Amino acid sequence: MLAPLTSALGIGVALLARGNWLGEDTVERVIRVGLIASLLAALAATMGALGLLGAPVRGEIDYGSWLVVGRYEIPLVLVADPLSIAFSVLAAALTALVGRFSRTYLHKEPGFARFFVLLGLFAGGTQLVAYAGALDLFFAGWELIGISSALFIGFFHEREMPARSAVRAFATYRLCDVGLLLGTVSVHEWLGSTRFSALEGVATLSPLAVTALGGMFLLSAMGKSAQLPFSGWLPRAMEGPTPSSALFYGAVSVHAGLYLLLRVEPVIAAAPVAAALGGFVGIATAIYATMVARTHPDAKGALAHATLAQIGLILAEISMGLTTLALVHLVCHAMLRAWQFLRAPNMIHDAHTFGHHAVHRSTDGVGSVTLRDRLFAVALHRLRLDERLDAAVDPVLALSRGLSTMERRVRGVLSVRQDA
Amino acid sequence: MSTIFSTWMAPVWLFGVTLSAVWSDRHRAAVAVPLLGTLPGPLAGTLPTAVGSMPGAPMLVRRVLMGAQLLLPLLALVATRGHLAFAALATAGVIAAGMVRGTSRTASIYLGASGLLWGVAGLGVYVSSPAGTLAASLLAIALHCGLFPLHAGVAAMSEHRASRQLQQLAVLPIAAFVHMRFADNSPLAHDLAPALVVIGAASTLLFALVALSARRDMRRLYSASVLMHGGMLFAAVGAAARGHHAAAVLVAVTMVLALTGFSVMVTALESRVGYGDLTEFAGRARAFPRLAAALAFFGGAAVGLPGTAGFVADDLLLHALWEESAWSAATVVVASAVLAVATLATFARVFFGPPQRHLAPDLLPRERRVVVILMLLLLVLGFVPALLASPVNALLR
Repeated sequence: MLAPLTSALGIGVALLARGNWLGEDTVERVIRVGLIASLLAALAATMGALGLLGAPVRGEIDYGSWLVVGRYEIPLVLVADPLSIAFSVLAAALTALVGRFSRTYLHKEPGFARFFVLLGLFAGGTQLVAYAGALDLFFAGWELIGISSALFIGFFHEREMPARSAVRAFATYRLCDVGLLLGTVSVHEWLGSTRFSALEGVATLSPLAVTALGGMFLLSAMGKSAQLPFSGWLPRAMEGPTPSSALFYGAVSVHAGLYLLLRVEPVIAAAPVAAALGGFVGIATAIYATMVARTHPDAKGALAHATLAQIGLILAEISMGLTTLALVHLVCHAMLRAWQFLRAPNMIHDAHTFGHHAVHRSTDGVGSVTLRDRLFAVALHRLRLDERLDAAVDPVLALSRGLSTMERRVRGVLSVRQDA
Repeated sequence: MSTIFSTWMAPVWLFGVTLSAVWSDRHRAAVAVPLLGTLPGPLAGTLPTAVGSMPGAPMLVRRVLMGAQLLLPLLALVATRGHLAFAALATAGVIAAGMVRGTSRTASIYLGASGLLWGVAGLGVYVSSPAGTLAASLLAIALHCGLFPLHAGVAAMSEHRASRQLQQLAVLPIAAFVHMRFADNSPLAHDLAPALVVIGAASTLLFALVALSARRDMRRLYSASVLMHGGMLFAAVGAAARGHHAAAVLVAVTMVLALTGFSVMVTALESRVGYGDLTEFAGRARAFPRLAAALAFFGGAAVGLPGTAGFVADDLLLHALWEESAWSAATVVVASAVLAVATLATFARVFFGPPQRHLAPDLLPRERRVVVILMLLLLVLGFVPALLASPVNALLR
């Protein structure tokens, strides 16, 4: 995880400190070294866990503490188990693949260096998420994924729509991350440690506390994985370059929420209310996304909703305790979607050159004409989710403006006249 | 401004590190090593600019005041007696008040008042009055960090050029440190902790929401960020009475480093494109890509970007607040999220959009050096926070 992070930071600092921009080859080569090192490390970890390099290395691996202050500790602990290894290898392999693809795809693009720096940050973040053995570390990786994701959406910042979409996605992420952050602090205070292994003791907590914990983790997962009612940012995220769409919204990032729920599975298992809520949200998202995917007019948008539908199903599987099935589903789905997203631009080319046309299943034969029309209209407008969320945010913005006015008045009263 | 920074930062940094190394050899608690090394940089950068604000004063007087403003907080830091530490802070506060008088009378009055309050706190230590010391020191910190409704001075300063704000920012960590060392160890402070935490958290949320309405004005966003962090610092200082010293010091130092960088970048931007309310996307990223990247980094560090000191500071603070009041911790988490959204929204409005041509250059070499130094400090403290947190905690406990 350090290799891609270091390469990204190195390029970033060099870009800031140097007078001239670095060439494409230099940038790509440095980041590529980081990505390949990350992939090799993930494969080595897999072999180590399988016992191919000697005695099997599994479970928690302690590297001491990031910080110890009094009785509070941020443990520097990684975890090697089937879940972490599967996610790590998946993420490292797909990131390296997308890196290679992007070298050609983004050749001579003005943001070439920026793209690869963000890719390095993202790769470091995903590996940290995959191997983190404690919630604090997990949150650090989680945030790196969120920030790089938002900046990828706003990659073509010369246009207004990507800029607006980036802010919307980031706002959804950050507000939902409140759940993970509070969950982390709660776990430390209630269970004495933020290690994932400490979650085994969740049964000792009161039902209300467990439900609250489950709800907090679920909220974060819903935001990151674009589950209802936070699905609106995902189609907007397609404003980013195709390689980032493949990596983030087809393959890795959008599955990170599900990975979180798999990691905190003891909490979800002990919190039936949160599990039921997760199942309901997952199935509702699957139905919603299936309908929307059938009416979506562009290829990437339709793919995004098809992705959402599967993610909804995986969420339902996790909520029902089918964690192994969910992990297999997650890995296979991520690989398939990465391929589909990377192929998306070619689909149009193929359609014109070879006469290949995607087959769209329609709603013909679903109920009466009136019902079909209504479903079509609902799907076409995507349940007006964005408008509804905007309406929910409006009072907050109004409060913000009111507080700003009040603050200026208070300041005016407490200032001397020339500054008021 | 940038020239001043690049001229002063490196030698003062080396001076601070050397001084602290000498000092720590003689004292078992190595608390001053990171603090002394970290703080003089931003402080020193303000001094030559401060001289410029006193055109009527003879050069010698100005130079003496410059030196005093640099050395007095350091004396407060290393003083082993409370009344001396507070006296040094008080003198620094009064000098700072005099220096900003030409720019903002409100800021001058507030800084002067906090200086006087530190004087009272020193007197309280001298006559062994813990309650008086605590009250005066807390009020001085509240004035200095801009706790609502005592924020008019800080707000007035932050609406002027960066140097004014830096004078106030650079003293804050030292003031918090001196408060924790000499004023915060009474039973009253222990009892007051939950109330102070709630007050600080409320102020944090208020200014985060104010920041949300400042999406079209980078300077106003900066001002709200400073005030929001001031609320966080006040809450952290409140919680420190129950042993969370490291959280308070890390919050204060992060605030200085991240907001100093933010402030310098906002000033650099304004010096290139002027000051204005943005109704449309301004599209400046193409013209100033490095400035945009640096501003994004410092804005991110201020809201807890992983890998920077801000992340660890926020994490420690939340744990500290949770022990006093879970609702306050939740309030601060929400406030931090709101500020992050406001920062990105403002950033997008300033830098994204159809590219605009500008004749002004991107970051100059000397500005880039300042940026890299501040970034490295934030990254070092982010990856190895124990450099600062552990010795501070060990000493103050």
